[in-house]
Amino acid sequence: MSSVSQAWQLALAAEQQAAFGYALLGPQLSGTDKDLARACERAHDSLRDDTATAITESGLTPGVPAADYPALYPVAGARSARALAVRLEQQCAAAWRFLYAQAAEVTSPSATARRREAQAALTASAVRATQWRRAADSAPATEAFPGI
Amino acid sequence: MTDEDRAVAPAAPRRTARRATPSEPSPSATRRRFLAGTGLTLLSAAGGVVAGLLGTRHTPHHPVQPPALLLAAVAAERALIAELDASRIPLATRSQLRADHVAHLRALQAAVAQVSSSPSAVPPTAAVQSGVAPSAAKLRQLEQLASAGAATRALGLTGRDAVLLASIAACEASHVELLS
Repeated sequence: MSSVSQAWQLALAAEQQAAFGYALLGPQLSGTDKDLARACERAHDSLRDDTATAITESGLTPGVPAADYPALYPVAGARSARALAVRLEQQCAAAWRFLYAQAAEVTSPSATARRREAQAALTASAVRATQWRRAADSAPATEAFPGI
Repeated sequence: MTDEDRAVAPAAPRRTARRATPSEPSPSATRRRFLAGTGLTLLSAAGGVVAGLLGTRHTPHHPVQPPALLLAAVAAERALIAELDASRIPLATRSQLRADHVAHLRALQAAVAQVSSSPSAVPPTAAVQSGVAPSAAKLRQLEQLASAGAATRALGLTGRDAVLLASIAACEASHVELLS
């Protein structure tokens, strides 16, 4: 398996974890935070499914999600939930940035496609992380180099 | 015989045999060899210096230029910093955005410096074009454009420079969120 394919699978794994994590943290929130969590969960579900489909279409077998993610526990209360949301987005950003880095070493139409996908996902995670930092009133709300 | 003995024992006869060799050079022969060796070393060194000078003379002096996309990214960051400095958005937000853009600018300048020895290749700081303090809405629009521009430039580059611009594009999209 090429380094790009491996990075692609890692990005899928990060999305699988994020989808699981939002289902875990959502019940701890209320009001606008809960709405944000639902929107983020939908986005990660969608990206997870699209990524798995794209991996299958490229002739590879997408990795299966873990049965559980012990590293995400415990989530006790709204503050902890918001902190976990930031962490999930940072991990997704790192995974997509890594895919971008691997694809940027290769010149091919498929590598360019991976770079476009990775850029979109990296950007989306950076924006969501900022939304969560603002919700948590934590400063700084942005990162100069998301995914690092 | 111990291991230590075995290690020492073979050396002694060799040392003795060398001392007994009839062709042991006389002091004058040793001196001649030393002088000959020194001469060869000096000739080799001189040859290396001459070759180096000739090589320098025949190499055309073309300073390596950094990719235009990288220079454009530097200019874009400078322009954004200038717009921010001219704006009247809340200080906390402005400081946050500025800090990110300064970090981008430094990283891009470092990337440019890695491929170019000529600092003049980077265009000077852009001035605010309109002369009017940009509003939050205007800054949001500029950040959106900057994000899209960085992502497009990233696709035109490879390796670390591409990844740097991809990350910058993501950050600038998060600035849009912060200005909302």
